[in-house]
Amino acid sequence: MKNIIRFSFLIFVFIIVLNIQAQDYQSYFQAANNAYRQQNYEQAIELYQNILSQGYHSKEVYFNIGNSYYRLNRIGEAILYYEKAQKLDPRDGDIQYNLELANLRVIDRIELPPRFILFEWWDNLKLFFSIQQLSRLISILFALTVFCLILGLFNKRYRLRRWFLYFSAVAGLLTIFGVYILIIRTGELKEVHWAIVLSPTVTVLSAPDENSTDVFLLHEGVRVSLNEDRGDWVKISLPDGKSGWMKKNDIGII
Amino acid sequence: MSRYYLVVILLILLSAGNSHEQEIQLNALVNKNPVSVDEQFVYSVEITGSSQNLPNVDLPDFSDFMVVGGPSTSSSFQIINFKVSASKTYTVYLMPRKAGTFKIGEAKAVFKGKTYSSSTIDLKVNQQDAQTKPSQQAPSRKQDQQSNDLSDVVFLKVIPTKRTIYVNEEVGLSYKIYFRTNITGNEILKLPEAVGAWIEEYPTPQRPQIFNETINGLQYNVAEIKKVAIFPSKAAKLTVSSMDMLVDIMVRRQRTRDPFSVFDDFFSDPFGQVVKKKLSSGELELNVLALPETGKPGNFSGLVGNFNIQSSIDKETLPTNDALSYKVKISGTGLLRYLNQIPVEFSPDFEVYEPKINESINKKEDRISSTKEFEYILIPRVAGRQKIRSSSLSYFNPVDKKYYSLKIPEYNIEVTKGKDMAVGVGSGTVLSKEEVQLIGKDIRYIKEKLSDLRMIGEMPFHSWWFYLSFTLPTLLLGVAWMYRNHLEKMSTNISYARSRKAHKQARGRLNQARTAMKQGKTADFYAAISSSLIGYVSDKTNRPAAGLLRSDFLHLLQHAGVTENLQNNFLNCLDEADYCRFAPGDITSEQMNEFYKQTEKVFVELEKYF
Repeated sequence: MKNIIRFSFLIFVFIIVLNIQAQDYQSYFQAANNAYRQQNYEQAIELYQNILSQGYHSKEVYFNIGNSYYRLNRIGEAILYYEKAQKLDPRDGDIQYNLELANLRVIDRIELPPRFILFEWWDNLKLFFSIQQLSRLISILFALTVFCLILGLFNKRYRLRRWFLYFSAVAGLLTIFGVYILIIRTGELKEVHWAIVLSPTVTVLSAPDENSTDVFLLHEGVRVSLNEDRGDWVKISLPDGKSGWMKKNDIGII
Repeated sequence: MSRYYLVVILLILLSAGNSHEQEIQLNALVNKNPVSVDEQFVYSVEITGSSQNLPNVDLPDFSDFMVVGGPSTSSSFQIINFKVSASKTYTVYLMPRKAGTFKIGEAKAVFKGKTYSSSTIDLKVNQQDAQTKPSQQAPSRKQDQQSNDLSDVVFLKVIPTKRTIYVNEEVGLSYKIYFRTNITGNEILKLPEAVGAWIEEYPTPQRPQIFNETINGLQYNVAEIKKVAIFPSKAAKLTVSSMDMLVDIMVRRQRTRDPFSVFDDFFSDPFGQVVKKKLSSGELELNVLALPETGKPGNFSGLVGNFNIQSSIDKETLPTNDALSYKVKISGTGLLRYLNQIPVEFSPDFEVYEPKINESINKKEDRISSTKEFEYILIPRVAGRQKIRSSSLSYFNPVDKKYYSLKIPEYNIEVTKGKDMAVGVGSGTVLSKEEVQLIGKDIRYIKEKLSDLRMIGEMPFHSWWFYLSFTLPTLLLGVAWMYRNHLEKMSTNISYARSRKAHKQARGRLNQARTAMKQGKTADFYAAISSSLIGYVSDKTNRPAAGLLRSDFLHLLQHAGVTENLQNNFLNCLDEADYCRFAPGDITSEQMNEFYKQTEKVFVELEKYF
């Protein structure tokens, strides 16, 4: 009993501390928004970055930084931050819209052959929820599964019992599916890294060496996937299959 | 030649009296018939009459022949014995085009409404004689010299710098005229031609230099009349057609048994006669070799000669959308005519215009040298460090038979962001329908509220609620499962049900006992206690309550492993309850209460064993 009290007290303190910190960031955020309103975009970015440097992030912070860079005409950075925001919430309409607008100003267009529609659906399904939402959904689904199962177990009326058990089975399958997607998504987060080219023009080379031959040219704002990391150099590839090496400081990792 | 007209004039003079009635007479004649193909002849028409105003003569069509000179006219007017006689002679120098028999038509003149015409002449043209055929060999002295064969006096010769050459290598052809007499004029009739080769002419000097050369003991004056450069374009035998020309030469008159030679001597030019002579250089065969395959660079574009390259850019730093000029100049000996572009690749960030090409050919030296300048105008559309990559141009040097490569260096250009940015969209991009609708739109406004601030890198499964949301329902399910099992057992397993209910029932009976005690119903109290004790053990052991003897209880308790003390306590309680139930004496409420507590204690103890 004593232990429980101690534990709940700790949680309480923790929540309060979190709240205090959140209050702190809330004021940073408002100050940054004010700077943005006064078209002080550089200052706004600095203030938003303050929140990030404390180890906290949110889609709103990323989105607003993206907007500030957009206003400063630094499309590469704008896209980088929109992408970061989108990673936290893939279905936010504002983020999607602004990212699309920013991408319009990217010079390189990577033409992709149309994909098989099922893959398209699968990707859309996978990215339908953010990881946060997905984990909440899984919790709810699991609770529902158990609830229905219990109701099914205790209900004396055969028919009702059967319905509850069916319902529980469906919820259970959905839970398993949700967990599967969650595992894939978190796996992708760990393994697949994306980056945005930040320098106006970058020559992609055939080897991590200044003197190697040029392969192709990329411009600010292009999204590349990172394949290998070697000191100052990274190996990047494009969705259309081209790949090569470039300097790490020419890109920003999403 | 003039002797012929003298003859004619003489004849006319002699016959003047006879021709009195005829007012006008037309007389056509040639100085030679037959003639050979390359031989020049004279056609003349004389019109004579007694009028002072002789009409003009319409000359016949000479389309079968080459008109080498003329027509020229000469006229004379005489009064002999009060008779007026006038004559006018039209002279045309002709040369046949080909062998065969040709008809020279009538010459016509209209005089006082009457048309007069001369007779037609059938001219026979023979094939060229062997001797007169021009050749590169010096004409032999032993040759039978005919009156018009002047091939050892004057001839045309072509001298190539080389006979075996590579494709696109220059071969210079020098056309030299050899002569031992005075040449008063020359005219080139046909320039050399070659199928499958580019021919570049050197300018002809106004006054060719004249050298001396001795061939077969004869001394000739030699003058270079024409120089051309030939660049064969394919590896095969190349035939260069002959160059033909016409020269006016002075020929010393030769003595013949001509009856009019007396007059000839008298009238002829003291230096000789002027004769037109057609010269032909003859065809020339050249052997053209293909370029060697060994060491041929991959980017070889067919340049042959000896070249060098120069390149430049006009600025190294410029803003976007400004123009940059990139020049590459190639120069050297050889032909650059076929070089249409330089193998340089520009970054797609540059808008590149068609190059401005300046080509010049220098023919002043012995060999043809050319210069070609490519000027590219580049407009950088994207800011950043841009470069024009280095490239190379290779050529074959026929002198040492090797391939060489010319390197155009790399240029680094710093492109700064220009002020006039293109409206929103990068150049050269194709937009989709959806994208087109977005052009000109502005971004959506910043988010005002911070809804969800999280630690960077925090995952939902790092939070306690996530795990709780799994463990709590699982526990609940476990409990529910156990409870359900219990319920099932209760309904199906009697011994389990009795055993599970035993405590509850015993408790119920004890409560009955308690109420009885409070009401002072002594018998009821002891009956309830007794039944609770018997019921409890029989339920726990699943025995029928009725018919259980005291010894049976002892046995059952022993079987359950109950201590002897407790066995005794149990039996004592049972005995006392039975005794007091049936023989109620003076039992105080204190006694009952004591007994009740004692029984309760026994139950508590028994719970440990069942």
